[in-house]
This record gives sequence, C-alpha cells and structure tokens, in this order.
Amino acid sequence: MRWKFKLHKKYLSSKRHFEINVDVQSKAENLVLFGPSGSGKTQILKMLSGLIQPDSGLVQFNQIDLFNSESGVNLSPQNRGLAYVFQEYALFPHLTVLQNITFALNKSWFNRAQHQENQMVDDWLDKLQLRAIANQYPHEISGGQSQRVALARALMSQPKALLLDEPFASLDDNLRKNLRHELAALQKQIGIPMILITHSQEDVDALGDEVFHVANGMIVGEPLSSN
Amino acid sequence: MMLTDAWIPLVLTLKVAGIATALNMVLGVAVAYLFARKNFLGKEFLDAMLTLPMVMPPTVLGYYLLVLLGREGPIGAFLKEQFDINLIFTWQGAVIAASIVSFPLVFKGARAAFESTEIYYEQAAQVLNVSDWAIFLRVTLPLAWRGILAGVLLAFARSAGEFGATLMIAGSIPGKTQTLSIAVYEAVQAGQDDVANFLVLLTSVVCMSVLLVSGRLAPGRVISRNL
Repeated sequence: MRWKFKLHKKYLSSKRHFEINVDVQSKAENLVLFGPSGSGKTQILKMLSGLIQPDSGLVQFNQIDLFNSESGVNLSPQNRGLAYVFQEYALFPHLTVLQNITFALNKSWFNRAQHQENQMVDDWLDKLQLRAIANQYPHEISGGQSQRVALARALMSQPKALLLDEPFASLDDNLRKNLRHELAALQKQIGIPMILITHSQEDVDALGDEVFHVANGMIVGEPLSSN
Repeated sequence: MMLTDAWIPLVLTLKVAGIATALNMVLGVAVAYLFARKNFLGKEFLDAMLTLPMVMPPTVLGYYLLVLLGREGPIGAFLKEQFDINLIFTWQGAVIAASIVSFPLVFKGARAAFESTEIYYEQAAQVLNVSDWAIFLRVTLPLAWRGILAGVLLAFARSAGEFGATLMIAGSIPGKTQTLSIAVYEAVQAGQDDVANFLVLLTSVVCMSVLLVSGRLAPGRVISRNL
C-alpha cells in the first residue's frame, strides 16, 4: 500500500461545528482528493504533512508510520519527507526566486546572499524555465512563474512524495491547462508519488490515478480509478 | 561647565535606555512571539497585565517597584540575602524601571508584527526540513522586523525620557542615577535656567532623532504579490 491514512479531528467553535473523519488506502502514484471548497481537503493534506495534528488516527506512507495516535508516533513536518506546495504558493517575499528554491539546501541559521554551485539547482532552473527570473523577488513574477518556483522549491528538498494544495486554482484557464500538462509530464519523468487536492474536474481527468471524493470532511462513495 | 553638566546625565541616560532596550528586545520579542503563535489559558488577561505599565502612572509603578525591590520587599530581601545585591538608588534600578515602563511598546509592536505575518510562510519552511530556530531567524524575523524595530525605537525613546518610576526607585544622585529628564527637573528647581534650557534642547534632539528613525522604519510598505 502506498498511502494509508485514517484521520479524525473535531473543530469546535461558537460559529461552526466541523468534523473530519476519513479513511483512505491507496496504491496509486497520483492520488487525488476531489471536493468543493470548505470540504476539509486542505486540513487533510496538512494533517498528512504534520502541519496540523489530528485528534486521533494514523498516517502511513510505504508502510511506515508518520503518525500513529495509538503507538504515539508523531514525526515533525521536517522529518516526514513530504514536500508541500501551498495554494498561495507561500514563496518567501523577502527572498529572491533562487534563494526560495535553494531554501531547503541551506541548513544554517541565516539566509545566504550567494548560493553555491549546485547541479540539482541548475537542472531545475532549466527544466522549469526559471533561470531568467532567478534574481527577481516573488512580487515581481507572474502567477504561473510563482507556481513553478513553488514546485522547484518543494522538489529541491528531495521529498519522498509531493503534496499539492489546489496548485492551479489561482491561475487563468490557459495557463492552468499548460501547467497541468507540464506537471503530468514532470511527474512521469521523476516518478515521485503525489497527492493533489482540487475542486476542478479537469485536474482530476489530467492527473488522477485514483480519486477520492471529499465532502463535509468525509470520503463519499467508492474511489474512482483511472485504470 | 554646561557641557559637563549635560555630558554625565546624557551618557547615563543612553546607558540606561540602551540596556533597558536590549533587555526588552530579547524578552519582549520572545514573549510577543509566544503570544502571537500559541494559545493558552488567561492569555488576554496576561496581555493586559503586561500592557499595564503603558497606562499606569509611572509614580505608581515606581512605588510598586519600591515595595517589591526595597530592603523589606520580597525580591529586594531575597537579592540582598542571597547575592548581596541592592537595586534601590542605583543605575541598575533605573534600568529596571525603564525596562518595565517601555516593555509594552516592544511587546505590543512585536506581537502585531508577528500576527500580521502569514503563518503559511513558517509552515512552508517547516516542510522544507529546516529547524525551528532557523525558521524563526530566516523567515519569521525578516518578515516582522520592521514592526519590531519601530516598537524597539519607541521603547528606547520612552526609556530615555523615563522620569517618575526612575525617580522613585533610583532617586536623583548626580553622576550616579541622575538621568537627563531628572537633571532637567533638578536644574529648574535650583533656578539654573541656562542648564535647564540646554538639557531640554539636548533631550528634544535625542527624542526627535529616535522618532525620525522609527518613522522611516515603520511598516508603511506592505509586500504584496500584485497579481
């Protein structure tokens, strides 16, 4: 089994009572969680990455426990080896594109002005066509470019899997189509397992090997498999 | 004569305000970060307590300090007994008074700055396998530094101008605890108008410089994505 996760979390507030209760097992390379906004998809992804802690449950990747409320295993986000691309991209606004991309390579306490030569960085700059904007700041580049930078930054940490939160939501239609194909091609090339969450049927068609439908914090119906 | 009259209290004032500001830069920023990122019982009550020195009359604050740090006071008696330290009528006492009076300026400024920084930048750094301490230094602090620095400079100005609490706890010993603002009061009381005029002018120049610098650094420019 590639992924196995069972998550339970209650959100209680005076305005809203929301509960996440999902149970997913999948062998798919490309797993898609599909559902409308507010259905709890982002919360699920953040629980997988360790950014939010479930009340109880289990997160397994390749049969290894990342979180297990019964045995008390709870790896920090740093130690899960799962890269995460945020819906808002979350590029560090005070750092250049190159500094953003090489962020994970620098283990010191301070940001470096100059980066050391690195073959992997050069490869990604070329592959994702980012060389021309390497010294620009995030507010100076376009949405499509931001998306590529976020992807390059995530891949630079050499993750075991990639988590993508609505990666195309803030792009216009044409760009969305292009980047969707780019991502599918890239994924085939590097062969890294991925979970993508989306509310767009086109994303599902282009990228999903197995699709789970999420509504109201729960998995609805049987998963759809493209095979 | 006038220059030596002014020189000694000026140096003392800068020393007291400098040390008080340095203390607050560490303590105020650390406490502000805790308040901005963690939830705990009685948080807003504690916030009000920590902000109290900003609204309470300095003489009242000075009285509290006198009661606590005096020879008969619980902290004063302990310090005297264990370490043979006496803080009353010393410049170190003036540092304590200035630190407490100006603490809320650093704390409030830094808390607002941390709270206005999007949490997803820190989360993005977490999943890039960077240590928590490095995240604070490489992401959180650079994004919040303008707000923090504005608070720190205001705290410096407030410390330099401290009068009431300082007079209560440190007194007015020329060359030892007599800061600029206290020297002005003494000069007026003694009818030394020339000295008073000079000291007042000097104090105004110091305060204006700090305000001008803090105005330049205040967070007026928001970094946005412009998409």
